[in-house]
Amino acid sequence: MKRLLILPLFASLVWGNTENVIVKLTDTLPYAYTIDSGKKIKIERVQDTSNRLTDDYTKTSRPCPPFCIQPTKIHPEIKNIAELELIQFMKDKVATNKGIIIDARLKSWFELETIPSAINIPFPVMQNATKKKAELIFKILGMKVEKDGTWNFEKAKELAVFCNGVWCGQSAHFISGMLKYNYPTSKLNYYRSGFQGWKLLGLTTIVHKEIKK
Amino acid sequence: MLNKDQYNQDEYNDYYQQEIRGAETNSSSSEEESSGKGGILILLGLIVLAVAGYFGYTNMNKTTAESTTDETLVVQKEIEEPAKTIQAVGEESTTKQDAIKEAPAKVEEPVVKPIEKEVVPPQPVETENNKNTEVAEVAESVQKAIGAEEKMSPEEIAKVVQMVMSQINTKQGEVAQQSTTKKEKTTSALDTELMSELSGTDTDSVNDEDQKLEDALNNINETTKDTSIKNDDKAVDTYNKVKVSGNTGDDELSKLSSQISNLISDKTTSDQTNNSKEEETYTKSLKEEVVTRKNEMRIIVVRKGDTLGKIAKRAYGNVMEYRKIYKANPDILKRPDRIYIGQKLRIPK
Repeated sequence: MKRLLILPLFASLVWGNTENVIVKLTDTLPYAYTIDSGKKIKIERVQDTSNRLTDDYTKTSRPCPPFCIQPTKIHPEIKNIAELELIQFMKDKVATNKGIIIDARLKSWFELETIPSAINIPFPVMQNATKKKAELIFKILGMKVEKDGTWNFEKAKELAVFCNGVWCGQSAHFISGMLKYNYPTSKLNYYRSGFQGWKLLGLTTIVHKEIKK
Repeated sequence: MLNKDQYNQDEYNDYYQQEIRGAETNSSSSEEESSGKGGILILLGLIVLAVAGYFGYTNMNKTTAESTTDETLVVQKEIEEPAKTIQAVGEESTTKQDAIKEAPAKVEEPVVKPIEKEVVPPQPVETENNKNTEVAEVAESVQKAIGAEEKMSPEEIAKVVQMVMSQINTKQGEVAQQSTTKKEKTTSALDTELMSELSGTDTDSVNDEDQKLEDALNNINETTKDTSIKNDDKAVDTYNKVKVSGNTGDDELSKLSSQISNLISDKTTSDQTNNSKEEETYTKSLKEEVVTRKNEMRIIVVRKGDTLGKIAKRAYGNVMEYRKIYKANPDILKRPDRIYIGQKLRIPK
């Protein structure tokens, strides 16, 4: 009997919260959930409609090279994705342990701020990896070494790779390292807008190392 | 008429002479009054009867004569005057005047019928109905005039005919104008449609309308959002950041993350020494950029007794550097002298 009474109350609270979301992810999706560092993270957008970016991600001009505009496709067989596909990737792949979001930036960037549920593999690690190191990394990602020594990527995880954004080449470097050791292109996705695109939409971010004075 | 009057006069004279004769006979016999007074009385009675009979006869003749003259006058006027008025209008020929003399209703029918044929043009159904109703109104007015003809004077009939003719003329003019204007409109509409199809202006105009609608809707949404935001402002995290300290999860993702981080930090498997010069410069640039970002991301929390000057003194060692903090926090600080406890301010380097 108590359950019957509590259930409508809970439903009304959930409904009420949904109604308070003014800046939704999509027309029908107010927010989403994922996991990061063992915690359930709610992915939503900043609800203050007057909010603006004021930090480093508002910078328009960095010297090129090295910070040059990236091409749309970094490889003809690698699929480009955007924010909604990335959120869907969290639900379909990350939550079911079939995929991982890779933050290809340097560790210092990753620690400052990143996308929820992302794992950091800095691009130099993969770009400069030996076959042995690549094998170790690929094994962690689900690759299996057959008896004859061939690498089987059948159960390898699908990856969504990102870096700082359209002016950042860290993802390209990372992916080139992956392709060097024949990681299947069908299991690679490129989020070109990157962290700047994520920030620009006011989406939830993860801070591993807060800077204070 | 005159013969009758003359006859009456003669008859009167005959009676008068008879009376005189009778008086003469009576005077000749007065000498013989003695012969009898009854004779005189009889004579007087006869005279009275004769006079009464005369007046009664003459009065009867007069009434009959007057009634016949009135009837003939009325008929003459009815025939002559409508013919004159129709000639003055100048619409119909003398052949129609004869018809009007016989029956004025027959004159108006041929006037209306050809106009009905002219009035109904090969137009769409709506316009045809309108014109038919207009003609029906005119016909009704004509029929009313015909129905009331017997009671109307010739002048009134002439006025009605004039009115009907003028109405018909005006209706003809109006119908002609309407048909021409409608034709012009339809042709102009077709031209514009064709032109728009050719030039693509039609789609542009539709898009403009859609854009206006969308703008209007967006404006409405914006206003509602703004008003509701003010209520929930305190509950919203300004930067939408979630702090995560350490990887404490037992889930597969956390395990995988810790495995990779251990692998990266393992110096035995590190290949950092193999970096090319180009990659080294790129990595160096990234490291410099991250330092910049760190500097821009420095945050302090405003405490009790803080001012921007005091914070600037702590951060930069100079009170006058408060402007740098003020410019770095435009979304938080509206005025440099208004800061509140708990505010998180960016402190750029």
